[in-house]
Amino acid sequence: MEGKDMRERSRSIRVKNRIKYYSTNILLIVSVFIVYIPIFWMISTSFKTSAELFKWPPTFIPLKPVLESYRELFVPENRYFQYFRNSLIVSISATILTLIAATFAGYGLSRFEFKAKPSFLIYFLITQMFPFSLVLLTLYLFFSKLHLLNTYFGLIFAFTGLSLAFSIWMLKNYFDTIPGELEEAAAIDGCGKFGTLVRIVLPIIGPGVIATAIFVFITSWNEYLFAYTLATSEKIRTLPPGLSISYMSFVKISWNGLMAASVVASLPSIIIFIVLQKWFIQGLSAGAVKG
Amino acid sequence: MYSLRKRNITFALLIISPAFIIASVILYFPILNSMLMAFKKVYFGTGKFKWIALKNFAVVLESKEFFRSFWWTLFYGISSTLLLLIIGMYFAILLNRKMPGRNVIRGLLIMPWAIPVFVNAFLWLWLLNVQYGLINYILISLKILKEPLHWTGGRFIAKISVLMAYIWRVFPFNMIVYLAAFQTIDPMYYEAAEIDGANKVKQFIHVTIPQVKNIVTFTALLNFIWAFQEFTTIWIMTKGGPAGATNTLMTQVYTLSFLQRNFGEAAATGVLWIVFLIAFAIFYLRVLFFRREAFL
Repeated sequence: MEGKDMRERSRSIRVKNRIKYYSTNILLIVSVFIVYIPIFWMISTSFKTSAELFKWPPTFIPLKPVLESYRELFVPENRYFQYFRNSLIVSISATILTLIAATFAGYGLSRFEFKAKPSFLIYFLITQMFPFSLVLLTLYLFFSKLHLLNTYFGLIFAFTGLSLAFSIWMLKNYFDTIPGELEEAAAIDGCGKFGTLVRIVLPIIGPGVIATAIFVFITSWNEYLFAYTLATSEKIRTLPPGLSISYMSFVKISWNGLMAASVVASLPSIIIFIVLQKWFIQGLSAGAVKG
Repeated sequence: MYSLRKRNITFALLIISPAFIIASVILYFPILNSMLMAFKKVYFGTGKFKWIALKNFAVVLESKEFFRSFWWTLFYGISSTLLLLIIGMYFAILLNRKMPGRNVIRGLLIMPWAIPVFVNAFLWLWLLNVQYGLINYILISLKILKEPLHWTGGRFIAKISVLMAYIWRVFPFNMIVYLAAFQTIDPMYYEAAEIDGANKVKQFIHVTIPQVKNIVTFTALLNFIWAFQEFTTIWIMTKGGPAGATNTLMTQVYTLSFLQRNFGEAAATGVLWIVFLIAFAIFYLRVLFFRREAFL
């Protein structure tokens, strides 16, 4: 009698758990679906004809998908790929420059004990609170005096400043999670401090560096305010101001054209996330969540 | 021994110096120079100026725009931080379970963050379009709305619109950080709690929360500070309008300095902002962390 009761009870608990498990999964899938509505809409719009764009009720999947909007990006009068190239040049250079500076600084702030260390960390971190539009005011005047407006160099330098603090903080925390024994062994083997950093430490902090690189690249790829103000010439202009100027200034925005431009503008960061996601999550987790 | 220590310090300072120089030239020199302008009247174009002490502050503090943008920025910062906390936690909790395809779903959920900020702003402008936007269509067919809503037209609704667009893109950051924090917790604690008869909710309150408290409070501070820096979403979607309703301190300083060429008032606004933010951060960290080691 007792045993049967127990069996009944454990069965009902199992059923309950199973219901909970499946209902949670359904909740998750529905949530993912809702999160993806904007992305579907962007892609769907980019394949629509202008006529279908203004159909009511709107079609979620284009009735007659066309590549027209994508083809227009290649038209010579459209400077799209010039902006795209500028964005790539500036973002990749800023990523490399930031990584070099932030890896060194992060290592210095993680491995060595000295009195001024907390002050240095605060010196970097506090820059995150600076009103960037106010920084830009002097930077603009300063760059115009030095003839750095409308140059790749000026943009690269400015973008480096913008993502430097967070990169140093991430890398410093990442270095903190790695035990120093390897370096001590290298030091005993007669490896100089700089040699240790380059030959021993850099190879094992891969995930941290990749996570930081993705962060800097995306921040730079996204940068609108500084790019808009510091580069007014078409030759240097990057994608964010380029797109907003060429598409938003019309009274009637061609939404399918803008969405096609947007899909292509999203490709670099989406590809990076798909390819490097494992390292990114690993690096960000270790860097942001101090273990 | 002493000289070795000294050599170590020299090496540390040497490798920190490139970053130090970049931060000084790109951020410190400009911000200090701009802050000085708060005490000057700058004559645009000639570069001439005259010291006027606190007059700019008086003008700014008497203006409606300053307080309107200050309260709205504060509202934007607080509400986005809270919503990011809730939504980030929601997904992190749902993903922090054993299930097939977990990594794939996590990967899918990171994608909004891979959408560039400017693209996100265009996209939401189109989603929220009055006549042909998808959101109006969905809400009308679900009978939530009777007629199309002008999402960026009203003073209040425009605020909701820019908040929505911002949060949709940023929540994956919170999700990843929380998920990572959850995974640093030793499963032993949960086993012990289970033996003590604690259910899932109790386990979350008594085991999870204390273990992730530090990282959650620090992430909230980052969210808050980043909300103050947000420019792109608002500028593309509303340009600070309608009638200044979505004008944050960030767009206000930009408008004053680059559109109205009123450097003094722009600088005074910025100085008030930075003083507020730093005071807030110190207070927040003092109250919530007690020790400095927790975040440095």
